[in-house]
Amino acid sequence: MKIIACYKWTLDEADIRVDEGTRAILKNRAQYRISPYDRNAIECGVQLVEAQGGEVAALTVGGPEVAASLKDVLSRGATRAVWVGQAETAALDAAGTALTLAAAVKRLGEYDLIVCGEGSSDNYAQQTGPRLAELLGIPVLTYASKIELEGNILRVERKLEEGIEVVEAALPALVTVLPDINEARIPGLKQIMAAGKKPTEQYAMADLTLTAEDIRPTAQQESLLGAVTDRKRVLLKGENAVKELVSILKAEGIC
Amino acid sequence: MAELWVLADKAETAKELLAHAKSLAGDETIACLTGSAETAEAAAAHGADRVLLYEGGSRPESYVPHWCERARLERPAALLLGADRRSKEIAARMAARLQAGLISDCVKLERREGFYSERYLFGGLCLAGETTGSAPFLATMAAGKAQPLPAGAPASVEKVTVSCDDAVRRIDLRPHRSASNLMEAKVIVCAGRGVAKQEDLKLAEELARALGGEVGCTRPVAEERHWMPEENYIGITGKKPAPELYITLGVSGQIQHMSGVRDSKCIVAIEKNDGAPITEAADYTIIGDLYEVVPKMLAELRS
Amino acid sequence: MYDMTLTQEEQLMIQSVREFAETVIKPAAKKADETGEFPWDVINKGVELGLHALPVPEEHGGPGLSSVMTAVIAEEMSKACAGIGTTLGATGLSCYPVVIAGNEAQKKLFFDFIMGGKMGAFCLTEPNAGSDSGSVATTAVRDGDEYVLNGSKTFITNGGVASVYTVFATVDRAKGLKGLSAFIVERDRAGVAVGKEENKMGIRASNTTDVIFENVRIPADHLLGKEGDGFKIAMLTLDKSRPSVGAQAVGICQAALDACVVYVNERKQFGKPIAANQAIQFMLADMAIQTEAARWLVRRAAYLQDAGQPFSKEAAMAKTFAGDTAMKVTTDAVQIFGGYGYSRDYPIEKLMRDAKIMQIFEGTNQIQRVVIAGQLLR
Repeated sequence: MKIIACYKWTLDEADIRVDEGTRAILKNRAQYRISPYDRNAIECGVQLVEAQGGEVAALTVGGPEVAASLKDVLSRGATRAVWVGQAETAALDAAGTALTLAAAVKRLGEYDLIVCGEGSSDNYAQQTGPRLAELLGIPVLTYASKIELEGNILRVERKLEEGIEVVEAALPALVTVLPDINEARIPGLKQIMAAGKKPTEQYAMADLTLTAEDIRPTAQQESLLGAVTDRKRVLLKGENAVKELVSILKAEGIC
Repeated sequence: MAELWVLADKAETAKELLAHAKSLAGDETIACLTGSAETAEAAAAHGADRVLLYEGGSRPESYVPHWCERARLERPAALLLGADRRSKEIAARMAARLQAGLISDCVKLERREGFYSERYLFGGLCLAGETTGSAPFLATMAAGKAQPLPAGAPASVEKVTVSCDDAVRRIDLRPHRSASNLMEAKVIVCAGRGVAKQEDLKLAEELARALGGEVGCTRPVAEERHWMPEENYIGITGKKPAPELYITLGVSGQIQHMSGVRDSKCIVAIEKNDGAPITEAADYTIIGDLYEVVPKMLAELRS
Repeated sequence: MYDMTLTQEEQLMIQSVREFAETVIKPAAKKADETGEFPWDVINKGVELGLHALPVPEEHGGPGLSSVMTAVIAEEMSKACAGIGTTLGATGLSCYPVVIAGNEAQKKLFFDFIMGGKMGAFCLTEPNAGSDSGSVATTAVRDGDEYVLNGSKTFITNGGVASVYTVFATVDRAKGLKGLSAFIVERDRAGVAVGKEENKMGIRASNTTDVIFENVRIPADHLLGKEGDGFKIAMLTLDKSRPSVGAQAVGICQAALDACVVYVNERKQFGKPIAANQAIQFMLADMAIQTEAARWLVRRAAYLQDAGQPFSKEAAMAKTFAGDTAMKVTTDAVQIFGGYGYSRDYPIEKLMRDAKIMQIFEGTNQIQRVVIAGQLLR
C-alpha cells in the first residue's frame, strides 16, 4: 500500500526561553526537530507498511531549513522524503500548510492513506490533517489511538472527551494520530546510515502551481509574549476558604 | 442582517459560546446550529436569537457539508465552536471548505478592527495576539473563558432535516475505562505524607473523581509506605505531569517533589502548616486540616 | 587542525543515543543499581539500536564508528547510567581483538554473534594477573587441529551474559608475555562455565563474573593472529578502548554537574536559593572546568586514533584524568546535595559509587601513570 506521512519540522520548545523583563521569546538556542506528534504518524505508517508491504513517503512543508529534516525522517523508516522548503512557505498558517500539502499530495500520485499527527508541537492548532482531507475530498478520522486495516476499510478508535468512538471509512482516507497510538522508534545507527541512501525530492512552488498569494496567512500577528507562570502564593484561611477557592477555580476555568 | 454563529454539540459549550458571541456582537444577531435537541433548547434559553436544530446525521460531524452550504449563502461574520476534539475537527474542515482562517484554542476574543484573538503557542510558553480581518472569522474557544448568560425568554427552534452521506461510519461509542493516566490527566490530586492512613487515600480518590482527575502521590507514599504503585509517584525522580490543576493533600512541598510539577497550570495546596514550603510553590493554599477541608470541598463542588 | 565538526549523520546518531539514554536507560537505572539485576530489556533495546557494536566494521554489518563517535556515545550513555554504558561498551571492547587481528573467517564468526544481537566479553584479567598481564596462567595447549584451554578469568564484564568471548591464554608459560595468545571462544563450548557474580560497589547494572575454562576444546582457527601475538593484541585493544572509558567518566561528571545546577536553584536556605552563595558557585565552576578539560583530553586522544597518529600516551592521560575527575566532581556533587546527596533515595551517591571504578578498571590509574612516565622517559 502507498502511505503518505506528513510531518512538521518545529523548534524544540524546551530550549525556547522567555526574557523575564520584556517577556520576549528567545529562540536562538532552540533546535529544529520533527514534531513529536508527527513521529507517531511516521511510525504508524511504517508499521502498516511493515505488516502489509508498500511504501511510506514522508512529506513536509516549511522554510529552507526543512532540508535538514530529510535524513532524520528517513532514519525513522520512511521509504522516501518529499519536501517543499522555500522562503514563501516558511511561515504558513494551517490553511496555507494544508493547501501546499494538498498540492504536493496530488503531485505525488496515487495513495491509500495519509497519516498526520493530531497537531504540531509549536502551534498545536490541530487543523492541518482535517483541512488537508477536505481539500483532497477524502474521509478524515481524527484523534486515533488505535488503527486497523481490513482490506480497503480503515477502522479507528478515536479518543474523545466523551469516550472512545470507533469509526470506519473506506480508503483512501486521512487519519490523525494521538501519541498513544504507538511508541515511535528511536532510529538505530544502521538506520541512520541507510537514510543517506534513500531518495528525496524537492517540489518547488511552481511545480505545485501555487503562488505566494494563495497561501498568505489570514490572521495578522499583533504580539507574541512569554506567558507568565509565576505562582500566585495566595493563602486562604478560615470558614469561607473552600468556597473562595472553588469560585476562583471556576472563574479561571480550571474546574 | 449578518449573524454570529455558534456551532455546538454540548449544551455547556453552546452556553459559553453564546456568551462569547454576545460580547462580540455589534448589530448582528446570534444563531446556534446544533445536532442535539438538548443543546438547541439550552441555546434558545441562553442568548441565541435563532436556533437551527439539525436532524438526519449520525454524528455531529455529519453536518459539516450542510453548515458550510448555509454559511456560503447566509455569510455569517463569525463562527464559534468549542475546543473539544469533535468541534476542532468540525471547525478545521469547515474552515477548509470556506477557504477561511481559523484560530484554535482561543483564550481571549475581542471585536476590534476585525476580530482580535489570543492563544498559547509552544506548549503554553507564549501567548500570541492576532487580528483577523477577512470574513468569515472562525475560532474554537477554550472552555471556561465566559460565564453563560442567564436564562431568558426562549428563542424559536427551527428544525432542519437533512440527508447525510457520511463517509465515516460510527461502529461504537463507549465511555472511558477508569485507568490511571497521570501524564494525560487534566486534574491530579496528590497524596503526601500528611495523609495518615492508607484508607484515607479514598479522600484523594473522591476529590479526583469529583474533578474528573487522577490520583498521584509523593515518593515516600509509594516507596516507603507502598500505598500506591511506584508509577504513581510524582517528583523530580518520578512522573513529571503538567495538569491544568494540581491539588496536594498533606504535601510539605519539598523541592524534589515540586520541581516535578512545575509545568502545572494551577497548583492548589491543602496544608496544615502555614509556614510549609508548599505555600511558596502553590497558587492557592488552604490552611487547614485536610480531613476537614476535603469533605467541604467535595460538598462545594457538588453544589 | 582538529576539525571536530560532526556530520549530520553523526548528529542524528547522537540524537538517537540521547533519546535512548533519556527514555530507556534513565528510568531503569535506579532499579538496576538497587537490585544488581541485569536490565535485559534496556540492553536489548540498546542492541537493537546497534550501541553494543560500535567498532564492528560496515562490511560486517556494523556501524564501524570512529573513535571520536564511540567516545561521544559512551559519554551520553554513561550520563544516564554508567553501569548500562559499561555493559554495551564492553561488548564493543570484546570486538577490538577481532577487528585488530581477525582474518575474514574469524570476523564473520565473531561479528555474526554480535550483529545477531548477542553480547561479547573480553577475558584477560585473572586472580593473579591484573595490571600484570604477563602472569596470565590460563593455558592453551595445541592438540592436533584444536587448542585445549584451561584456567580462570575474573572480574569479566558481561562474563555471565555474553555468548562469545575473546580470551587471552598462554601457549607457553615459560615465555611470559611472549607466550600470550588471543582466541575466540563461544560460550556454548563444553567446559566453559560462568563463575560467581561480583556484588559491586558501583556500575551495579553491569554483569561482572568469573569465567572458567576446563578442558575447553576450540578449533585451531580460533587463534587470533599468531601464537604469541596476545600481548600486542591486548595492549592495542586497551589503547583503542581507553578514550571511551574516559568518556564514560566524563558522562558521570556531566550527570553530576547537571543535577547540581538544577538543585542549587531549587534548594532554598536562609530565604534564598543556595546558588546565590559564592561558595557554591565556585564549586560548580570548578566542576564544570574539570569536566570540560576531561572531555577534551578524551576527544583529542580519540581524534589522534582516528587520524592514525600515535595516541597511546594521550589515551592513558585521558582515561586517568577523566577517572580522577569523575571521583572529584561526584564527591563535590554529594557535598552540594548535602544530606540528600548522601541518601540512597536520591540519585547522587550512585554517581560517586559509579565513578570509583573509572580509576580502577581497564588499567588502574596508577598503571596508566606508569605507561605515561615510560613514554616520557624512553
